[in-house]
Amino acid sequence: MKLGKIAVLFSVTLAILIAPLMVRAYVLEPYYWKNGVTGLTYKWGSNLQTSGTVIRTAFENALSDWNGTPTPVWFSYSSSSSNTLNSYYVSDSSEYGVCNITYSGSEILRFTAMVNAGNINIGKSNVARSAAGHELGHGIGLDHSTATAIMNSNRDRTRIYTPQQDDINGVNARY
Amino acid sequence: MKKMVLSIVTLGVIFMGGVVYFIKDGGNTDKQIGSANVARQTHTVSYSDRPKYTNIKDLGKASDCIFVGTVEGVAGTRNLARNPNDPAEEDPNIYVEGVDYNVKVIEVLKGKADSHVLVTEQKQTKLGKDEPMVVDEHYIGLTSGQTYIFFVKKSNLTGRYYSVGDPFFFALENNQVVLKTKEKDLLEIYKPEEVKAFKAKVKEAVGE
Repeated sequence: MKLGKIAVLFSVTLAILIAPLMVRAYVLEPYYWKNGVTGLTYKWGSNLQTSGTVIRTAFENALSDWNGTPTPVWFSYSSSSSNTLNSYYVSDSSEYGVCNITYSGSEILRFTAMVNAGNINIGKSNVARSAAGHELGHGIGLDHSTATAIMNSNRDRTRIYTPQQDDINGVNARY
Repeated sequence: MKKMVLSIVTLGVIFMGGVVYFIKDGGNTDKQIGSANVARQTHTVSYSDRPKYTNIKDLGKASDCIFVGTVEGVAGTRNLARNPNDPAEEDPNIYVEGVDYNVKVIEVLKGKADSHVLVTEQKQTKLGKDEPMVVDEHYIGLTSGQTYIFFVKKSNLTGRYYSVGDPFFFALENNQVVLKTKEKDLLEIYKPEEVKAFKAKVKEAVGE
């Protein structure tokens, strides 16, 4: 009986100690902005020249979301920026967005982030904003995460649409 | 005295050698920085945001259709990026390449599918006229003659079937269902399983 109690106590203690290690946190891309992320710029791509569209508004919200985080991240508009924010329309895909990053060695040189206006769920509350925030996260240098994070592909996009603590930890760890 | 002179000369030679080396190297560096022909090797990588399902129940629920089918070959490739105002037209600036495969349907586990269908897999993207073509991070490709279990959605626009997210397809190999994906965490979740047991699990998950 006494031995049984010890075994239970041991198992519970072990579970408590191991549990935090089982939760996988942020993942950083192998490349990053050598001069930091305080002076990041963007310009609008060919399909987002007009303000007020669903995807442009989603990006504007996502930019504010990232700029409001307790991180060094600060995005500002520049018509001559090498980073482009755009939308595309692909109905034959479950993809919400894509971000292509151009790098040299471990340095990010520029990125193009786009949200899929043709995704059947994109009109649902906050989904486009969540997708835009996710793609900006890639542009900053974050990879996919399995934690509660905007960088988690398995997230509920109607509920997780702003950078989470895990995302913030990732950015602050890198920059 | 002789020793002292020798030491001073030796140190002097070493010092001058260092100065010459420093000036020479500095000159080269300036030239490199000033040159417009400096080669800087760049690469472009593509990340995408797609639904990921970590259990068979969610995967089954999200799929419009689940079927077992054999790939008969590539039907063609096309630009999936369309003009939102007229989907009959391609996006003039963006290219998202989809590969259409001819698939012979053997058994339907959920939903409805004809005996022969087209299954589309996204392969690569070119996000602007001056951008490079980049292969999708998830792209694997389907093998002709291979039988798979597909978890798909049906396009209202084209009638083709496309990936529900990840996982998308499992290969049937030696009476085992084997997940084909580049997502390492999903390979840990969906271990190879006997075909009959896997189908039963899917049918139970979708309630059919």
